Order: sequence, then structure tokens, then C-alpha cells
Amino acid sequence: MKIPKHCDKPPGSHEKFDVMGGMAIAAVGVASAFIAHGYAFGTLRRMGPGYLPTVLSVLLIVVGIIVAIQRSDRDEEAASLAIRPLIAVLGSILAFAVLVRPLGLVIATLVTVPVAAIAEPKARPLPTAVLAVGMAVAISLIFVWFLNVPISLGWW
Amino acid sequence: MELLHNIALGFQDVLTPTLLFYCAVGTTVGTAIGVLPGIGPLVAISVLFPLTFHVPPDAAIIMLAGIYFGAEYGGSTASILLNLPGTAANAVTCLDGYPMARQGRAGVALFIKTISSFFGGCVALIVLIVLTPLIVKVALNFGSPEYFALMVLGLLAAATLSVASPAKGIAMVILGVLLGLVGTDVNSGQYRYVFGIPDLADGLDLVAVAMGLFGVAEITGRLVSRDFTESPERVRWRSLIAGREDMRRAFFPMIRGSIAGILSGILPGAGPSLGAFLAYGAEKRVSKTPERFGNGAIEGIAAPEAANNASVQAAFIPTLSLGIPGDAVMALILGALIVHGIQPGPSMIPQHPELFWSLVASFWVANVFLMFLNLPLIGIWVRLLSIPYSLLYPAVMVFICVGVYSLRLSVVDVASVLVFGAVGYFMNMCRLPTAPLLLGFILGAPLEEHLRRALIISHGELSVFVTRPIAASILGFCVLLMLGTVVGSLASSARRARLRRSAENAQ
Repeated sequence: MKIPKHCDKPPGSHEKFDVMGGMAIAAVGVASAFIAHGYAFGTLRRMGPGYLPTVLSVLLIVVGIIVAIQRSDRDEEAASLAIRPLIAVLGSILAFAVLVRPLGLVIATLVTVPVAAIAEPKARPLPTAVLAVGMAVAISLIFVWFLNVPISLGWW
Repeated sequence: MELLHNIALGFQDVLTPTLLFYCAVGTTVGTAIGVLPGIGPLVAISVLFPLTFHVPPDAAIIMLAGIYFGAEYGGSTASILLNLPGTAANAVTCLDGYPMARQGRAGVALFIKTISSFFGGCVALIVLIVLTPLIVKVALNFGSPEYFALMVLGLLAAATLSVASPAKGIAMVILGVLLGLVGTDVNSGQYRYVFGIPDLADGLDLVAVAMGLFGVAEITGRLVSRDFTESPERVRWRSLIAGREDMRRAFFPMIRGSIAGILSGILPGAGPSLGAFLAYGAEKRVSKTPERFGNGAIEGIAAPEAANNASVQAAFIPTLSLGIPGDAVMALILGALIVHGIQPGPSMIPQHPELFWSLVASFWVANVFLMFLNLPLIGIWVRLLSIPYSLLYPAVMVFICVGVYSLRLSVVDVASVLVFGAVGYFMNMCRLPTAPLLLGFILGAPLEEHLRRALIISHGELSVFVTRPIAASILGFCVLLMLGTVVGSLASSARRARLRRSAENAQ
């Protein structure tokens, strides 16, 4: 049963991503075990804060290795790494996070919209600017005026 | 009869202007969200979550539930008209819905899907009314071993059922549980995985993680595939009425779909997508003319639509009766209850029966609203679809950022969205399933708590999980599920190896 997909790539080239994923999982497991090692372990009867994290970390390492060595070619297209949308989207969140406290909600919103719009090469400056202003107004109305969330609109 | 009396009381509560208003808001917003690709019910619920602080609990829940139901209803509109599912569960509807639209039968498709969804919802509601009090009665005898076993079952089901590779699913569940343990350990006060960041002492925020993993990753993925240039054809109102033949054909698929949906809704981690897939597969197998599927078979719409609507309503059964959420949306809804001081769990319904019955009544009202929203207002939804995505997604990004920030006024939460957005993108690239991770995250802390408590009470004897009958049978079921999955995956890799060998020989 084929679900309509929107990109067509050669099948089978997915394996290196599987291996990468599995190794990433195992690596997280190792890091987590290392950190959990510092917490008190305790006994079964009185489980300490480190008990479950340690056990789970070890399990994670094992399963990560299984994922890496498992052959699961299912005629799936390989994923594509698209840098531009990724940077734009993540960048817009970063912009908001950095700006919202010092400069307030309005400026943060006004910056977030254009940064996100970078992902779309066809985006034209005027509609983006209108959208940015519109969103700033809408957000202020919805969150600050209607919901009474205590976010400062500006830098005061 | 007491049942009818309770239902009557529920309706009495619901047919008030306030509750009807919030129900209407929820279903309308939900449908709009469902129609628009790139925004899911999770984003909508997260954004409107702060609103629920200022509103009585039944209004809050019905609004969130309305969004959830509406999104499933609305998502299939985009599937039929544009071949672009609004939510994952609507992907199956594309298979026969879009061909029907191309044959000029879009109106019929939309009509049947609305009727099927309504049907599925009503059946699920009846099951909810009957089953939930029964489960509550049994669950009042539950202790920590039973809860632990149930959570393990839920996590295992999530890890193995709707996932291509069980190993990946299990890895994600374990990772999710570890993430759920970030914060302060309740028993010892020890900070775990906090890295000296004060905002993390309360743990990672569910909404931030969910938005990052699902919302951001989905938007990025959609921007990558860039397939949103088509505009839908206009749908005239008169074309909406389906003929008798179509209704007759859709009838049994609706019933079968509802059953599939209810089963998948009750099981944690299974969800509406699984129900819709199962329903479609079952219809195709049962049909005398399976070759019609994929070319505009009405059964291919009726069954999945009944299934996914039944599923989202049935998902409330474990949530309301046991307090165990099946997915992120249910977890948020439970969160809304907690905000109002209502403790989820088996004692919730006995302590707040009026809440349960007014919820039941309002679910039915929501179904009615959705049916009437979808039929006459089709034109509006179709017009929504022609909003260019390049305008839409920056707006969604802003909503995500502000929405998350407004919960705890914490920049760390926004940073979490960033981190999990990147993680989600990486996971999608490596085909690691994200839903099991979220479920592990939600159940992580409660899982540990029940495990600890069970072991303290049994003085460290692991046998407690085997000697107590309910816990033992649930865990036994887990073992069966694991065995079944392992056997299944070994069998399919053997099959694949055979196919590969024969393909090589043929060259």
C-alpha cells in the first residue's frame, strides 16, 4: 500500500541514515550512563535516583547497536538534508528566544517572521513585512490583551 | 434507569450558552486547523492551552476536545481536495478521496466522509459511556504494580505497533522515558540531567517538546518537500448529496471502521492513524472488488473516516477512566484537568461524576456541530486551502514561540523547542519514530514512581509483578506482544532476504 509521497529518491540509499541513527542512540546512551553514574544507585528495595536512569541508559546502548546493525531496506527514499529551511526555521526560534526578554514581544515577533520566511526563496519583502506587522498585532491582542499573559510588549 | 438520568443531567449542563460557545469555538478552530496543512491539532491545543486557565474545567476540556475532533474532521477535506492530508490519520483518505475528486465526485466524497465521521463518533461515544464506568470499577483495585504493568504495555504498544522497526520504536521509548526523568527526583530531591539550568529543575515542558518534535519538524519537512502549489477546484453545494447507492456501499465500512477506530483509540500509543490504516486494509481485504481501491472506492473513505473519528473519541476512555494518556493531546488535556485541581485517575469519575457526564454530552454536541460545520461551510474551508504556505508557516512559527513562552515565561522552554525541533528533524531523517518518544516522555516519571512504590511495598521482591493476577496478565500480554513483534520482524526480514536473492538470481 503506497502512501503518496512527495519526493522520489533512489531506494536503498537509506542505510547510512539508519546506521547514523543507531549510533547516535548508542552515543546518547553512553553519555546518559556516564551522567547517571554520579547519582546514588540504591537497591531494588529502595531505588535511588540513579537506578532507573542507569538501567535505561544501558538498554539504550544495546538497542542503539541493534538499530545500527539491523538491515531494514524497505524501498524507502533516502531523506534529504535541506539546509536552508532548517536554518530559517531554527533561526526564527532562536531569534525569538534571544529577543523576547530584552526587547519585548513586538520586536521579537517582527524579527521572527522574516527570519522564518528565509526558508522560502520566493518570499517577497512586502507580503512578509505585512505579515510580520499583522502577526505582531494579532499576538499582542490574543496573548496580552485577551489572555492576560504577563509578557512585556516592549523593552520597558 | 440511572444511565439515562446521568446522560440527561449531562445534557442539562451542556446546553448552556457558555459551554455551547466553547464547544463551537473548539470545533471551528479545530476544523480550520485540520484543513490547513502544516499545523496540527497539537499546535492548536498548545496555543489555546493558556486560555483554559481562565475558564471552568468542563468548558476547557470541551474546547480542547473540540479542537481535537475538529482537526480529524477537517484534515480529510484537504486529503480529498488536494491529496495533502491535514493530519497523519487522514493520509489514508487521500488514497480514494483524491481520485474521487478528480472524477468530479468531490462533493460526494466530502459528504460521505462527514456522515462516516459522525457515525464513528456516535458509536465511540456509546462505547465510552458503557465501558468507562466499568473500567473505573475494576481500576479502583489497581495498585502500583498494575499501573506499572499498564504503562509498560502502553509504551510497548506505542513502540511496536505503528512503527516500521520495533527496535527503533523501543529505542525511542527508552529515550523518551529518560527525558521524562529530567528534573528533580521526587524521592531524594536529587537534580537529574539538569546541567545547572534552574528552569530544568521542574523538568522539560511537555508542550515545548511536543511542539519541537512534531510541529517544527513537520513544518521543516513540508518546506523541504515543497509540494503545495495546486489549488483545489470549487465544490458546489448541490453536489454534496450522495446517492443511495453510495450510502448503501458506505454503510458496512462505516461500522467496521468504527470498531477499528475504537480499538486503536483505547490502546495507548495506537491512535487514529493506526485505526484508519487498519480500517482501510480491512475493507480492501473484505471487499469483493478490491481493485476498485485506490481509484475512488467509497468504502475507502467511509471506513477510515469513521475509524479516525471513533479513535479520537475512544482515546478518552483510558484518559478519563485510568488517567493514562494515550498520546500528547490526551496528556495536555489531562494537564488542563490538573490545572483545575482535578486529579486524573480512577477516582476522578467517582469524585466528579458531573464532569464526566457533561463531557459525554458535549462530545455528542461537538459531533453534531462538526457535521453541520462541515457540510454547509465546505466552501470556506476550501478557500482556506488556497492560502499560500509561504505566508502560513511564519505565522505558525510565531504562534509556536509565543505559545510556548506564555506557559512559564521561560526562555529555556523556547530553547527546548529549538533543540527538539532539530532533534525531530534528525529523527525524521533517520526514520526514527517520534510518537513513541513523546509517549515515553509523558509516562517516564509516573512509570518510575509506580515501579518504586511497587518495590517498596513488596520489600524489593520483583515477584510482586507475577503474583498479582491483573499485573501478571498485563505483563504476560506484553511478553506476547514482544514475541509477536520479534517473530514478525524476523519473518519479514527472511522474506526480504529471499526476495533479494531471487531478484539477484533473475538478473
